[in-house]
Amino acid sequence: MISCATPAGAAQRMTSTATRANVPLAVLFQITNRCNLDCVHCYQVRDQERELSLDEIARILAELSQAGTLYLSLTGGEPFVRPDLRAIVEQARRLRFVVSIKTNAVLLGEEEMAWLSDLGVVQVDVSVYGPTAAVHDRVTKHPGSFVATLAAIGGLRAAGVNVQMAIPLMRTNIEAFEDLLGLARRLGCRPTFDPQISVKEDCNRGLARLRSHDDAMARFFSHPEVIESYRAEVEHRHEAARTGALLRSHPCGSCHNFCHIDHLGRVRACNALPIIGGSLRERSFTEIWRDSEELATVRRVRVGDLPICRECELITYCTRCQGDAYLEAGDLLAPSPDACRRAALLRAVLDKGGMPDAATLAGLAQAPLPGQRARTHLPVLL
Amino acid sequence: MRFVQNPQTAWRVLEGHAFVVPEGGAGVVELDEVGTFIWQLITSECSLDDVVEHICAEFEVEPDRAREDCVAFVRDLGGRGLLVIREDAL
Repeated sequence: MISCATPAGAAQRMTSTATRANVPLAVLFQITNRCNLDCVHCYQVRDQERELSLDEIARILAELSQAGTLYLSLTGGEPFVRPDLRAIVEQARRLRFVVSIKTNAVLLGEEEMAWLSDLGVVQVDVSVYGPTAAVHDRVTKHPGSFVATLAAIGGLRAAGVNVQMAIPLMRTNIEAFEDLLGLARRLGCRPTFDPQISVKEDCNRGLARLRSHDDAMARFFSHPEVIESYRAEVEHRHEAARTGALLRSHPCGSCHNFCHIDHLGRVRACNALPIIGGSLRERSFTEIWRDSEELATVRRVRVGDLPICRECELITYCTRCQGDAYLEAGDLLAPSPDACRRAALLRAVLDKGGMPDAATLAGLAQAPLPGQRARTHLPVLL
Repeated sequence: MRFVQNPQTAWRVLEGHAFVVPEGGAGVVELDEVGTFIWQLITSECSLDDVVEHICAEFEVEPDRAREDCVAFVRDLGGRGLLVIREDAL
């Protein structure tokens, strides 16, 4: 009469139920955009606007709980610049969210590590940009940040807190990714590498200069552990393409089971996609999530609606981001030019079963990619 | 026997089913309609008798069967770390 489902099946059913019922199961909540570092690759634009107060955040958390949000990730800026972070986490845990925090960890002391453990924060995502102080601190522009971050990771692990090492791959560190992998393992963290460097949220494309060269990116894809994880994903997408499910699917979970709330209380499609549904200082979360035409526009998009991507031979290799497409190509339905480049490199690596030869890479560098045919006007920020 | 939700769990109800994340955040447990009904009852500590009484009032089931199923359910959730159980309590 009464049953418990198996955990593995339950996670899949929970996600599909949330997507079908349009429940914002996961929310990335930017509680500040102030930061103690000044990283070269940061896509955020700092402002002097009045960030959400503790009372406003408490009200928003209650609304999210009512809306069905379960997974709450607190981000910044740097969340630990807020002296009331502990009170925010306490409130979130009282409302029975699964709480994780994205941080550079520089400001963490023993007191913070203890309460993170006591309050049951399930994961702390710590950004690491290099395996040495020379590489890492060059990105943060703060000497000493590498030492502080690594000390905090050690302290968090000793306190029993689960730490994930978040590693954006760029020109300055991609050659050292194996050293980063080793560092993460030595520290008892799960590493996550992200080869995508987004442009600024104000559409400034200067950050594109930080993206890895093709040969370094291909070497990363060719690493035995990396290639296997991508191969499994590509095979899954091949199957979805064969059955037609890929074209019927949505590009990502944005506005289906996920959204972003920024430091001013604006509900956005994603941190990477600055389409704003409305302000929580003016309307309730449920009103914005349910009624916003801006969010509905994102929600309606299916892969089959992408006029260039749906015809593209790289589609099953592609990790296109709607935010990158919107900010860089100026069109929510356009290819993301950098995703096209990564997809071509990944296909070359998977076809070869390892690092492609120099002639293949040179050929890819010359070939026009689908994204280069896309419109290139700047988007109007909603 | 008395029991209550482990306060370190996180959970929401989606389309009538509770999805419960254990302490530590690994995995999810899905409860059926009756399990969800019980889960929502035990936000504060309840006795087995309390829960059986509520189940019999809400669903068409004999008390003995409800008690038997409820004990199995509580043991299952307890084994997964989702409940705090006090066996000796009245």
